[in-house]
Amino acid sequence: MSSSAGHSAQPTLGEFEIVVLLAVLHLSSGDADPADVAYGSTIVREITARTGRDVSRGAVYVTLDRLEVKHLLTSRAGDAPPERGGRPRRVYRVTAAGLRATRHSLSVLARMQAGLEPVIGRL
Amino acid sequence: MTRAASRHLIAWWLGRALPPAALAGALGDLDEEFITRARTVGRLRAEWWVLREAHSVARAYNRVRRLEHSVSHARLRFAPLRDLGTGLVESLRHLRRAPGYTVLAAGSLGLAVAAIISTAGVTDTILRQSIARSQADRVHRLTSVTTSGATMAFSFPELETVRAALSDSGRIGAVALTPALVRVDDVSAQDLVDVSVGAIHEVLGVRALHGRLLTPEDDQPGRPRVIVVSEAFWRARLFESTDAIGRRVVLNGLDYTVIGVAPTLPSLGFFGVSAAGWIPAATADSLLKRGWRTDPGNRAFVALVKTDPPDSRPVLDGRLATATGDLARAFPEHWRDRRLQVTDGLLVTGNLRRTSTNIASMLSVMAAMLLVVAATNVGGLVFAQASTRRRATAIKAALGARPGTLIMATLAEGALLGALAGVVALALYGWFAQIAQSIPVLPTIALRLDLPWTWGAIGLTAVLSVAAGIATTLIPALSISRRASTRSLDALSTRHSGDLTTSRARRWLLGAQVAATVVLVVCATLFTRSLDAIGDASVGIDIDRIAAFDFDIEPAGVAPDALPALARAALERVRALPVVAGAAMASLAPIDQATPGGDVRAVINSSEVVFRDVTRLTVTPEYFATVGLRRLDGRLFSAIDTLRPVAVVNETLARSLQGAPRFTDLDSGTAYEVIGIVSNAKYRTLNEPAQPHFYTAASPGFHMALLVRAAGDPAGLFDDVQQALDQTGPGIQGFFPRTGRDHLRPVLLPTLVSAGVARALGMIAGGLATLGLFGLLSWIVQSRRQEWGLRVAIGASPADLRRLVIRYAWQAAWPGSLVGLAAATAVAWLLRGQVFGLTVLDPVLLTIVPVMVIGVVLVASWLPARRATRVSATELLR
Repeated sequence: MSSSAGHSAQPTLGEFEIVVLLAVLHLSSGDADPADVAYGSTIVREITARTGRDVSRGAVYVTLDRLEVKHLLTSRAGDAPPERGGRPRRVYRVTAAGLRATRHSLSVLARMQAGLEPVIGRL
Repeated sequence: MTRAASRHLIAWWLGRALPPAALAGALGDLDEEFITRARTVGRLRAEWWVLREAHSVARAYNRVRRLEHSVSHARLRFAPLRDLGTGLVESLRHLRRAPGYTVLAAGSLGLAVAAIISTAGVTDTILRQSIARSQADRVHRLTSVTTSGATMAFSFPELETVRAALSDSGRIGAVALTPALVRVDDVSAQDLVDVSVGAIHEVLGVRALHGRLLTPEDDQPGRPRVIVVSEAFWRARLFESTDAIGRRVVLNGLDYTVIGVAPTLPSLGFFGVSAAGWIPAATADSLLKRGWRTDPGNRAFVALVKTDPPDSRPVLDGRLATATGDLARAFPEHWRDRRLQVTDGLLVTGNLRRTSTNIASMLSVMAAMLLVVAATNVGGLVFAQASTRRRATAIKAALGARPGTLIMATLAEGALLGALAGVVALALYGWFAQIAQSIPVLPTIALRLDLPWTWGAIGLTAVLSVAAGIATTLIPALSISRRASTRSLDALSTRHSGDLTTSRARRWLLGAQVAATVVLVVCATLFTRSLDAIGDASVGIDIDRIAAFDFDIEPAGVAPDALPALARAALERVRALPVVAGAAMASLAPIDQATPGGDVRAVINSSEVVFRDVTRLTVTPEYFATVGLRRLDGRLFSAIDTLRPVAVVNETLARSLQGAPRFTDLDSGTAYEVIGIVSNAKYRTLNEPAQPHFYTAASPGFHMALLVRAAGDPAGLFDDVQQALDQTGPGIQGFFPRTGRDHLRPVLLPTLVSAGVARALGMIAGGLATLGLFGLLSWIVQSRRQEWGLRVAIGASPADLRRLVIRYAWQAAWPGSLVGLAAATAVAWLLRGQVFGLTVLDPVLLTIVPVMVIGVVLVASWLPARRATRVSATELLR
């Protein structure tokens, strides 16, 4: 465990940003349902299902935009089925930088919680 | 609401909040969600859900936009600071590329700021400096004042009476400054020593630097002779020796032991000089005039009182009346019309303070005017520099630079120039402060002014310099930004400026510069001519043939009754010198501000009349011939008159007496018989009105002034006289040798200082005005090269071009000259009380000003005129 983590150049992500990135990773990972792609509605559903709480759609969209500006996500125009009125889906994918930032943020959390199992219990 | 209407509404709503890149995806998601939810919860609830989600999305994006707007708005709020920072960087780059301009501008401003700071420093030192080093609010001057307002020092018996009366309301210290021949090892030199009564150092709040200070025990009869030396003496004569304590110092042939070193303090009795040391009064018999312990008329002591406890001032005031009564009972003749008074414990008081205040005000105004001259000069230079960067400014303005940006850039340059000027000003002030440590007043006395050198003075210099720099560039900054914003594209397309706005603004600046210069030159001329008038004015005696010496020190080891014969022998020996045409002694040298005055009473036409403040001198019989006073009636003194109460009066007193054969001096109670009348002279100051005065006769003695009439140059007989005195007896010396003109220097010092400073400021201002005019003309010639080329092409000769340039110069200079002349006349009227022997509308002044302006015009236009004649017609083709 590196003790020099405090000197890392990785961007620090907020909690919701980590949640959104993880949701996109879930949706775009190999074991996801091939029919699902990571776009706005599916990301909102993924977060709701995994966190067990409702999440603001607007907050998700704004966060997706912010993560794309930070080059932690990329987006492309997906297919445009008729039920969408001809409007294409905006499909997101985590970039390598986003993956590194997610890994870094999670490792920070892991280091912070190390040794606290007697207090907070096993997660 | 139908689905289509809802979709349109949501599209419009989110279209106002979302960026285009996110809008399509969000709308598609909502459509997709509506269809999915409508299958499970029904269309209505699905529609409601979609609207709620759309609201959530719009609100989130609107919140982000508001946050971004407030951040960017905050950035805009700090734009002036950003512009200032950018301006400073650009200005630094520009100033480095234009060293001549930078040096001239910073030097001009620095000179003017230094003048202001120096004037403020001198004013602070002279007017605000208190006597005490600590607890200054508790230390006061104690003086006696007559009904006519004349203040006097104290004699020793008077001082003892006062100390007894005020003992429970304050601590009293007093000193008498006296000359002494001081010998350390084998080196003797004339110096000044303070004879101390009471706890003078304690009153002044002084601590010993080494050893200890005088105590009341030292001032007891029979105690060893000790001295506390000043720091300046310790450095100069004891060479900062670490074993100075216990060293032997010889004063007038008597040994004194050094017991301590104290800070050098300004003298309480003679402004600007400092004593070499302090000795207790009990051991001062060889330094003070014989009889000083008992003679109430021998007033040599300057007294201070320190209220103790701090709030005892009302008690002190009450005690003063009691003490005055005690003095009147003890010394009725001397205290008939005198009373005690306590004044502020300031270093400079009385007439000198009044004179110094007037002069300080005047010099401050002159220094401020020099700043105006320098500032207008720098403003002209900034305009000239801005012209060379005209295209760059125009491009910036065309690309959208705000006027504020352009203003900030110019002001930043002004601030930088001001900062550089501050460095120059501090250097000049430091140099002046060094000079002020020793300003020659007499050949053997130098005035010492300790100008403040504190963080406050440095901070004031910095602030004033930067403010002056910014103020100087304000008008050019506003002018440049206005032109850039309205004519930026025109400036890009024209090849020469024909810039009337710049030309007008520069002419205004130059006009102000010339006006201020005229006022300064007039002030300088007034003071210089005042000095000349003083020099030419008759003082009633042959001042240019007289040399004066203070014959103060009684030689040690001589019996008291042998001293008069010794003094007479000294006078005879001096009189016998080939270079000497006459010699005499007097209680004071002529024209001395310390000449005593008092009231006399006479019976005129059967009525008793009292004449106030009649000055008097005690003189040896040869005095009148030595100094050149004419006998008008009666006879002059003979040797026998030294034993009789007879007096010789001057014309003014004789007129007042109207032939009365006698008068009574109310100060001493002596009735004098008038035996002769002599011509009037000056007795205290050069510009005093007709002053009544009388002389009484005395034999030669010590503690008198030795006056010598030279056969030739009075300065040439100093060595011969000193040798003659030394041959009379060991330790007999003439102190502070000076010519008659030298003797007037302390009286003339305020006028001398004013004239010197005014001359310097006038010359600087004249130089700056010439430079400013030169700069304007050079710019005109350079910017109108095509015009010169055209004139040459149509047949103008070099003489025509020269005349044209000189006409430009005159057009720029004459308005300021008129304004300056009017202002100078007003200033001359205000100064009428400070100048001697001149009228306000002095014809010489009215001639000097136009001559000066013409001279400036010709000098400043010479080089630009030459450049104009070298322009060829090919300029038209460029």
